[in-house]
Amino acid sequence: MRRGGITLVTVIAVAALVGCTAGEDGWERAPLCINTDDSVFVLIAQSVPSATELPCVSEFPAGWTFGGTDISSGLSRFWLNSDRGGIHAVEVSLQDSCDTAGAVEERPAPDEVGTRVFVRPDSLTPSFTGVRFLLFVGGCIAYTFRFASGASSTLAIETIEALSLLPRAAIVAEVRKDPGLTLCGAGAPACAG
Amino acid sequence: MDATRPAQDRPPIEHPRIPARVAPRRRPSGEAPPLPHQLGRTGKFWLIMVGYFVVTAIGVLTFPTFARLFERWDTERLRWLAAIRTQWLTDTTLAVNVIAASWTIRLLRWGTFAALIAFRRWRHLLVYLASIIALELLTYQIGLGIGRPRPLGVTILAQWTGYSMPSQPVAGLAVTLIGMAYTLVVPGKRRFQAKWAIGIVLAAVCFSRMYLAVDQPTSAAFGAILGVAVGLTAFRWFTPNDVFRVTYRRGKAAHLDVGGARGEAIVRAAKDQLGLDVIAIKPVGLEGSGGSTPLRMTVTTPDDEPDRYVFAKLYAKNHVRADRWYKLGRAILYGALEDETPFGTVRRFVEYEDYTLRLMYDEGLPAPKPYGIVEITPEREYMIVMEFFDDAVEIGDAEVSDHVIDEGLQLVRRMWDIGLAHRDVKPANLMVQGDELRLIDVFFVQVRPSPWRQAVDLANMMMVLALRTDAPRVYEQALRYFTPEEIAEAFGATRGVASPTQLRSLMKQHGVDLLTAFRELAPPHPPIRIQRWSVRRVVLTLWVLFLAFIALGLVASNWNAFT
Repeated sequence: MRRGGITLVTVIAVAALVGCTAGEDGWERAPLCINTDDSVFVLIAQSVPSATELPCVSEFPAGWTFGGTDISSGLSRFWLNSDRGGIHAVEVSLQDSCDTAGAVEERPAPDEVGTRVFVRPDSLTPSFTGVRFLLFVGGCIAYTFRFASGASSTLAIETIEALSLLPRAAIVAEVRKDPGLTLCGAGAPACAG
Repeated sequence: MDATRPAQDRPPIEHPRIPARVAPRRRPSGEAPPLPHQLGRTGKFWLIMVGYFVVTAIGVLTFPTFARLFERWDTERLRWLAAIRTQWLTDTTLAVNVIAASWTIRLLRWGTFAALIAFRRWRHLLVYLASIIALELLTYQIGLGIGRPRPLGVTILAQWTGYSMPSQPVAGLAVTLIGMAYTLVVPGKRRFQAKWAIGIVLAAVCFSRMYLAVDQPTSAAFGAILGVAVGLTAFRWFTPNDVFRVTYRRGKAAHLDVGGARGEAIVRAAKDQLGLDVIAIKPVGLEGSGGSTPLRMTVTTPDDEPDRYVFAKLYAKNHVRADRWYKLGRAILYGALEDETPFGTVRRFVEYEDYTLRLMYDEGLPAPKPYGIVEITPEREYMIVMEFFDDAVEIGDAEVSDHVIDEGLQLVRRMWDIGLAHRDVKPANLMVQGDELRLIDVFFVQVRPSPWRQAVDLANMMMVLALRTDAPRVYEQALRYFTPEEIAEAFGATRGVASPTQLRSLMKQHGVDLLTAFRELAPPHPPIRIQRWSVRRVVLTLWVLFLAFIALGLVASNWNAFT
């Protein structure tokens, strides 16, 4: 009985671990625009040191959830899931440059002022796919839409309203305040080495 | 059971006197056992380091001031390194950092998997796989939990992925290298050298990553410590050296090394606990025994008598685990073959064998005389000591006379009469001493067994006896103790897995189908089913399938650790 109990607890613990790892949200934190002290923004900023703007989520529209992040040197990605658009419906990526070939420039939204916006719808049926590029000094953010078959393309508008930009300077200031160090890259004094 | 044909009266078996020559000594309270269970010095060191980092991590997460202090301390160290940056040193550290690149680690892992498959070290392979998955899960979850960014205030010169604490490349490299040392390198001097080499490699990689400012000093150190600790714990726990020895010579896995500290402990324990003066220990019959380590020990005798042998079986925790898995597998595959619950502890294990030995001895069956149990390491290792049959040879290598056949059949009849089953009747467990039959290895003896079990004992005994003679001769003699119906039932009950592997392979080797030969001699009897379904069997099967599913899920969700 005792051994059975231990085995059961072990299995539940392992299953929980698997769930945390295999699941897309686990302990991962969404880069919410209001949480400027979240270390996820420091990591995103470190991935593209030249970028003067960082992508963030201002709010989640109804039916949208955070998917996960993948941050490494040169590229930061995070993605959102939608009950209508499907898993990984929108991917947000930050790089130092983008290939905007075939994209059409359009006017930036109010929270995109200071950037140049390009859109490239790739297909409308059977599912909507396309990319929205935001070009700014030192970097580029791309919203890649890959909606599930039958999902309305108007979901893209919801997403664009939900996503926003955070000035790198805000994160540089946060790091300067706590822990009192320099976040190397654009808008910061030169770093050692 | 046919009670009209009791076994013939036979003269009592003469057993030698126990060769005790010194008075046993009681171990006083507080004195260490013969072989104390100790975690090695290195094991203690790594555990302390892991403890230190866990406490530190909790401190960092709880008190922001503490985190700030660590960050500044780390940055200060990295600035020192940044100050000594030169082109050649940067090129060198970039080259060293390649050792911790994901493709290098994957190459090492797959190479190790291939080697372990080639050497058929399945247990080592499983532990290696599990330790890698455990580490990947740990580093991933700790990384997210702490959420530490890459170094601040210093220009980063190399590629990176994800949070920095603990350093995943360093941890991955550490567990990979430790796994290689524990699965491929022979223990002793070579493994010691391998560990030093691993230490040097890890130190070089950590230095490089700090120089390149891709990891903070504490992140790199924590990664190395975590990787080493997970690897060491897994391999020391699940593949202890003295049981699952990495060797490039052939040998059985379950046998303990009886040299060195264990050998000395055996001598001391046998003297203190049984009064036996052991002067030599030799492993014997290893090929016929996978569940324990059988030993022949030479003991001195009083006065001018020549030295004598005693037989001993050493049991450790891994034997209990092996027995548990064996019984689980048999219960799932055959249902009715294993009808008793497994043992919970190694102490119960030896206590049961001691009990069966004494039972057989008290009933006058030709089993070894028990001398007692010796404690080597409390709750971990015990040794059971018994009579050694001098000059006895395995029945497969002996001349089998009518007298021996008679003794074998009487033995089964007697066990039937007193309600026992041996359950492992095979040539390796039947010895011929002079012209007398002796029965050894009574660990599987069952009291009040099922009629099916008893019937199988008879069939196996008849087949063993017929291996060196012939079926009609054994059948004729069997009719003196068993009815034709009882013999028919025995061969109706016996098929395939009901006979021990050794007996089946010997029959195959001799090119004789004794099962068919006996069935033709006995009256017709319908086959007795061995597949029995019960709620327990169904639940066990579902449970094992569920666990296998979880294990596959773990591998699948961490597949990027291997590809």
